[in-house]
Amino acid sequence: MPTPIPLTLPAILSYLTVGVSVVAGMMGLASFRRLSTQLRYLAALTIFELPLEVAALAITLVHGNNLFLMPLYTIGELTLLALLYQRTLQLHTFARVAPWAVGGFAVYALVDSLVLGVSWYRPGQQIVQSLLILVMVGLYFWKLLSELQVRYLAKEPMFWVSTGLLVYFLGYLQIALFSNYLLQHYSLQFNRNVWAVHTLLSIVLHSCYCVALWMRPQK
Amino acid sequence: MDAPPEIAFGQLLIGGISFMLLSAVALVLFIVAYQKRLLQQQLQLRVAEAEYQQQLLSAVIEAQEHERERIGRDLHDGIGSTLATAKLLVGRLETTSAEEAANLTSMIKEILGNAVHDVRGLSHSLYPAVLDRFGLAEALQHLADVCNETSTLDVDLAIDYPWPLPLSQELALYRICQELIHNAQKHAQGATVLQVGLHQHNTGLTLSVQDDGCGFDVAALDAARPATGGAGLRSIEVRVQMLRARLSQQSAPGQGTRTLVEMAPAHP
Repeated sequence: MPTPIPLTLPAILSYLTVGVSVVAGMMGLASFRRLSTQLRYLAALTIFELPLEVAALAITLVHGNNLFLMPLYTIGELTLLALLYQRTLQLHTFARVAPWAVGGFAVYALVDSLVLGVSWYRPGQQIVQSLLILVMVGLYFWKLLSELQVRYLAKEPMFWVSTGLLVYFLGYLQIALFSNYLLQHYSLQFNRNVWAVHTLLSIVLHSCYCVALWMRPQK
Repeated sequence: MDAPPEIAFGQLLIGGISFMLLSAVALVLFIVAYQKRLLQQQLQLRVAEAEYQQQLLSAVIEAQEHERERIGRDLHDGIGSTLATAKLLVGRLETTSAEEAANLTSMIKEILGNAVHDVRGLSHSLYPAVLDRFGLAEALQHLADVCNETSTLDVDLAIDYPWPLPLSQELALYRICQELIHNAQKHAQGATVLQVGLHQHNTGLTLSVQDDGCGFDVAALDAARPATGGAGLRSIEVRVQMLRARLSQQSAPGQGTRTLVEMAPAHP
């Protein structure tokens, strides 16, 4: 029988992340019908993440390697976010480029994972995905300021989603960049502390998802 | 004592992440503040536009009322009193001798002739039939002739108008010219000549009206205009807008006034 994971701060944060993901997934399921087509992609993302987060935690609890879930998670997340932003931005160029960017990334992530093994952390995939998502967020903010169609930002679901993604991926970029270096050269405790920061960012992101799914969009 | 490498790197990494997070927060705060500012500017612009439209509407209504008032006055004081006099004279015909009747008849004819002239003048001011029949150049020439007959200010007309515009645009240009001549007759004290030019060329059309009168301080007039009304000038602005043209006015005290309407060609 596997030894239980000690209840340290990083471990508590991990449980909390899964908790927030479960809440977001449940909200996505509950509100799916009343949401606009655009926000249904967000709901689909939270529903898609739900089993993966639970599976990842379950594998961690039995001291297994859950990194094989990462390419699936990354490709799915990028695809659904690209669909969400395609609906939101309504830009012709974006609609033309996005399928190629997502398709190219999926091919790269699958080849990278299959060639070098799925049980290794692949920072390249994470960085490319982060940059692509940050570009989408940047386009959203640009459109927000150039068109001025949104009167109250705090009541705009996509503003919350974009803010969450901006905070999460800007913070996560450096963790992803140094993750393998940290694993090779520094202690397990140090690595856990760094990943605790990631779980905090993830809580912020999923909280923003929850806010976006909770609110009624402006007429 | 040197810090262990793990702690030093940890501090560096956490510092880097913190910097990125602070940048993200700063960016979001900037977007919120900037969007609010842009919205306020947009709102101010809309309010200003609405106010301007309101002023234009008032100017149009005011101009219509002035015109009705003028027509009413012309009918009452001019044609009305002329016809009333003619009626009185016709009444006297029954009781006068044949010799006096002949005199009265010629008087009545003269009075009725004046009435017909007044009706024609009024009709022309309401709708310039010459414009409809012969075009803008002839209508302006007729306007200049009438002004030269009725006013001490000489109108010097120069026309180069080879490609006639649609009637609605010609009517707008005619009204603008009529209003500018009227303004000059009314306000350009000391003016001896009024130069009116209509020039059409490849780059568009220009209508210029220039006097050598007392002139005025343009900035002072602009500042005073909302309070004083300026219905005539605003009705010109409405027509200039309708023509998608540009209106400019140059003047200075003692140096006369030049008003220019510039219109782009219909087919660039």
